[in-house]
This record gives sequence, structure tokens and C-alpha cells, in this order.
Amino acid sequence: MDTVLQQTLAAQLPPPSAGWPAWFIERRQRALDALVSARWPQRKDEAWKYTSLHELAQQAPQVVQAAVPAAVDDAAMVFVAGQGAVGNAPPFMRRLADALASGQAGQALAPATPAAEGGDVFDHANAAFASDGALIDVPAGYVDDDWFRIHIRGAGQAASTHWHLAHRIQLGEGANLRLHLDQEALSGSGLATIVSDIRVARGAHLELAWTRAAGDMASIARTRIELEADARLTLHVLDAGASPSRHDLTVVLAGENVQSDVGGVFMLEGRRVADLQFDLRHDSPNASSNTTWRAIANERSRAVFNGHINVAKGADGTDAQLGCKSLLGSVQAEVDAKPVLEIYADDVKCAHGATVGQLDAQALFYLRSRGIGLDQARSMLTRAFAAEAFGERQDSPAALRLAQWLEVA
Amino acid sequence: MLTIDNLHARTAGKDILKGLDLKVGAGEVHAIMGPNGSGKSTLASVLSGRDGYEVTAGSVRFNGQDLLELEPEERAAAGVFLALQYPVEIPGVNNTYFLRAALNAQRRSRGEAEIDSVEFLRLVREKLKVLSLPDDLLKRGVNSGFSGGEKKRNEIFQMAVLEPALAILDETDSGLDIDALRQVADGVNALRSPERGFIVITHYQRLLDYIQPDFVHVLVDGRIVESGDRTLARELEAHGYGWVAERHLADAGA
Ligand SMILES: Nc1ncnc2c1ncn2[C@@H]1O[C@H](COP(=O)(O)OP(=O)(O)OP(=O)(O)O)[C@@H](O)[C@H]1O
Ligand SMILES: [Mg+2]
Repeated sequence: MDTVLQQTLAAQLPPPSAGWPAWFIERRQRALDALVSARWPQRKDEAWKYTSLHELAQQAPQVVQAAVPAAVDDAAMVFVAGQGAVGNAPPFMRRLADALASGQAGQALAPATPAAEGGDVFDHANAAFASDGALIDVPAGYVDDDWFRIHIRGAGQAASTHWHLAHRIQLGEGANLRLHLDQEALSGSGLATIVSDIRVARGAHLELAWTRAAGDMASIARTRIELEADARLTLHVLDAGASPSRHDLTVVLAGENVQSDVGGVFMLEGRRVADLQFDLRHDSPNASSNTTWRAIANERSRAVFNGHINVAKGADGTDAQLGCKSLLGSVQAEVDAKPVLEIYADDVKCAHGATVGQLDAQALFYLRSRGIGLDQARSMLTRAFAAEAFGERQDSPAALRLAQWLEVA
Repeated sequence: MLTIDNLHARTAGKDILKGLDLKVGAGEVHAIMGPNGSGKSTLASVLSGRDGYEVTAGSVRFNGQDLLELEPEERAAAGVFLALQYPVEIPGVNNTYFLRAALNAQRRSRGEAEIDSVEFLRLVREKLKVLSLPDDLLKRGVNSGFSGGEKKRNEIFQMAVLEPALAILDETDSGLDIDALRQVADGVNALRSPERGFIVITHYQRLLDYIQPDFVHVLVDGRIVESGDRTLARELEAHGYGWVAERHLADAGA
């Protein structure tokens, strides 16, 4: 227990709620023990090379007293500082908290990355403290064109807080789901962790958009998505950074003929940090993946893109594309982009690359010569640059949100 | 409307314009011809406010304003338009969206009301009658993947929609097929009016057959060395720029 943060959290575990199964109570206690003894990540650790947790280590955030959110607006679910409410949702969308309280919650509900399996301090914190999250179990064959929105907010106070969410999302065979995780600005300081365990069964298609507004908390996300044969993933991420915003995203193409399209945008201002550790595993033959990231770093912000693709032995016929382009808006901004390919299979088509540049001066002049002011010209070009991450899908919630952010009066 | 007086400009450490004088009055069409590298595009760049050009002496006044003091977008709002020799490709910025943004930005800075999308569409349709551009070009990114000729036509289309007071056309005719050349000329002629001025930079007589200029100037080594009416263009076509240079050597010797 070498940090103030760990000490503070260790003393705060709320008592179990009524109805919680024994395995869950045990699990969180184990996680708390692991949290206490865990080593605090350092810059010398490869995974934390570019993102400092020094400030966070010194903080003493408090558990937010559960104020179950009242207003749900048009969202399927709302989570405020780790406590949820169900809104306009189909029956297969529930809260983890409700399932736990019902006493029928089996171990299978526990999200992956359990504390016991060598997770880090944030995995342990999440396993110890998270007692709510989205529990989505889409029945086989379900089809719906509408986007379901899950609204995620912080405590909305300037104080230092910590809260945690655990989502578990499963799509049955041939099911289709469009899900928008809409994360608002997390103000104040402290720590938010969100662990998501997502499984997409054979032939199912998950379209997931995750928008994360600029925040000042440390926002730590751990997402694991596993796809069975013939399944499809369309994942769009839009992240304005936090202090820091860190996302460890693992996509496992477990079955044959899987198609994964991942597009992401970092839009960073101030001193915010967005750090993606992307791990894509081609484990079976004939899967194709396309990963397109765009990072825009202005002022003193920093973007980290660590993209790793592993093509396992036997995953023949793999087609994997990975690219990250960055725009540096100031000399004090920083981008660290590192795409890595590891290939152990045959007949594999792979390409990867990373570039860093600035807005094209010729294009800027061209727009201005037609009367468009400098700010508007910049934002038009920035938007064009960023929108490439979403390809043809300019109607996705992430693309629309991006357009909103860059709208110039 | 436009008065250029003893303009000196340099770029990349090299003096390009070396004392250029030119007056363009409202309603006039001026053609500028001259050998490659003589400074025609440099003049266009300096007038439109492109970065990287340093004015070392001289002045440019436009409708009573010091043009060189203005930002590129302010010049556009004041009514200056440049059809570029090499239009820029901007993938991801929709052509129509761009043009409407430009028109509205100009209107805002002139204190006029913005044009709504219905009105704008009507305007675009009307302008397209003179200058046919395939529909899909309007929906694509600005000049993105356009052929050379399509880019030039897009420049003139923008000019037609923005209705500038002073239009500078930098070799808009280069690379155009015969029909497109005709359309470009029609586009310019449709806009000709007693309030509007044009500077048409070209290497070829042919465009000037369609757009009949009031004046023709010859720019050599950063200066206008010869001015005349449109018969000058014919003489140039017949004798080449060597002929002008020789006459000047003769003048200088006399
Ligand atoms: N950015 C630059 N860097 C270096 N030299 C330049 C630059 N821009 C222009 N020049 C030089 O300035 C001179 C004038 O160029 P400019 O483009 O104005 O010529 P032009 O008369 O338009 O020629 P053309 O008929 O070929 O279009 C040329 O010698 C050119 O090489
Ligand atoms: Mg030129």
C-alpha cells in the first residue's frame, strides 16, 4: 500500500447490500485485499510509459453517497457516479445492482478481469467497489435499428470522488444491437473506473459508440470484447481526454470470418491526456479487422496510441489494417503512437502505420480565401481529418457528437 | 477599384515582383500575360493574402482600403476572389457545405443575413445553368478526386456563387477542353457588370476571344512592361515574348 489513494480506498468499502450473494461479497473483499497490496503503476512500466499517475496517487477521493438518479430523459439507462437507474429499456437491459439484490445473481454475472487473476490496482478497485453497471443480454435473433443510449455521469461536484461501474453485455446468436455509451464530462478530481465485458455470439452484430466528454478525473476503462464466428463489431470511440483518460481495449476475434471495424478519435485540449492501449487478437482464420484512429492534440495535451495486433498461429487468411494519424495543434502538445504487428500465421494481409502532422496550410488558405474565418476553417479541416475514423458511418452517435463538438458559431 | 503601386514582393528569399503598377477600374477586364516564372501567380497570391509572400515596397488599395492589411478572409468579404492556378483538394469537406459556409461567412462579416439552405440550393441551381457541373461533384469533398478541368470549373462555379467585386483568374483556361473553356468564359461573361472588375491571367489567346478584355498587360520579370488593348494579345501570339523583350531593350538603348 504505497499511495494515499490506495490507503484512502482501503478504508472505504461500503457494507454489503441486502440480498447480495455470498460469492460477490467474498469477491469484493478479495479484491480489496489485492488493491491494498498492489504495486502502484510507474512510468517505467511499459504500459504506463507515457501517462503519469503521479497526481492521482496523492489524491484521497471519497465514495459518493448513493443518490439514485431521477431524470433518465430518453436514455435506456443512466448511471450517476456508479449508481444506475433504468429508463426506457427493453427487458433484456437490467442493472447489475438489481440482479445482485434479487439474490439470483450467479457467478457468471461477475465481469471478467477478476481481481484474483493478476489485475492491476484499477482492476482491483473496480472489482471491490463496482456494484452496478449495465447488464445486457440480447436474445438470439433480436434486431433493432434504434440506438440505445446509456448515459454515464459523474457526481457533478468539484470534490474529489471515486466511483466504479461494471458492464456485462452479451449478444445472442444472430442478434443486432446498437449501443451508445454516452459519458459526460467528469468534473472534480478523483477516480472513475469502468470495466466492460462484452461477448458477441455467432453471427451477431454489435455496433458500439462510446463518447467520452472532456473530464478532470482519472477515467480508467477496461474493455474486453470477444467475437464468435461470423460475428461483427463496429466500434466507434470519441474521447476528449481526462486526467488521464486511459482505455485498455482488448478485442478478441475468437471465431472464423469475424469482421471488426474500430474507429476512434481523440480530441484533446488543455492538459488532458487520452491513452489507448489497444490489443487486437486474430485467433481464428479468415477474419478481417480495420482499425483507424485519429488523434488531435492541442495546447498542452497528450495522446497515446499503443496499437497491438497479434495474429495467432493458425489464423490464416487474416486481413488486418491498423492506422493512426495525428494532428498536433501546438508545439507543446504531444502524440505517442506506436502500432505493432505480431504475426504467427500464413497468408496474412497486414498493414500498419502512424503519421503525425499539422493542418494543411494550403487547405487552410483555400478556405480562408473564400471568406471562411481562421477558426472555422481550422475546425472544418479538423473535422474532416477526424471523421475519417468513422469512414462511411457518419451517422453514428460518435460521428454526430464529433460534429457537434466542432461546430463553430 | 484596384490600384497597385510600385509593388515589390519576395518569397523564399527571392525578389519576384519588382515594381509592379496596375490599375483596374470597375467594369473593366484586364488580361495579364507573361512568360513562365515572371510572377503572375505571385501577384495573385499577394493580392489574395497567401502566407509566405513578403511585400517589401509599394501599396495595394482596393475600394479605398489598404488591401495588404487584411486577412485572406477579410479580402474575400471585401469582394476579392482568386481562382487558383492549382486548386486545393480538401477531402472530407463537402463541396456544397463549404461553399455555403463561405457565402455565409462573407455575408456575416458584411453584416448581411445568412442564406438558408433552401435559398442556397436555388442559387446553386441557377448558377449551374451557365456552368454545368455533375451533381456528384457537388456532393464530393472539395476538389477531391476532381480532374484538372473539373477543378477549374469548380473555381468558376464558386466565383459565380460568391459574386465577387474583383475576380482574379489564374490560368483558369489551362487544361480545359474546348467546351469547358467556353463554359468558363460564359461564367465570366455572365458576371461581367459595370461594378465588377476582372484580372485574367492566361497564356493563350483563345480565352481572350471569348472573354474580350479591355486591356492586355505583359508581365516580365516582376514588372508590367507593356500594356495595350486586346490587339496586343494577338501580337504576342504571333511574335512571342521575345518580341516584347527586344522592344524594351531597344527602348532602353534609345
Ligand atoms: N514558394 C516559392 N519558393 C521558391 N520560389 C518560388 C516560390 N513561389 C514562387 N517562386 C518563384 O517565383 C517565380 C515566379 O513564380 P510565379 O508562380 O509567380 O510565376 P508565374 O508567372 O505564375 O509562372 P507560370 O506561368 O509558370 O504559372 C518563379 O521563379 C518561381 O519559381
Ligand atoms: Mg502561375
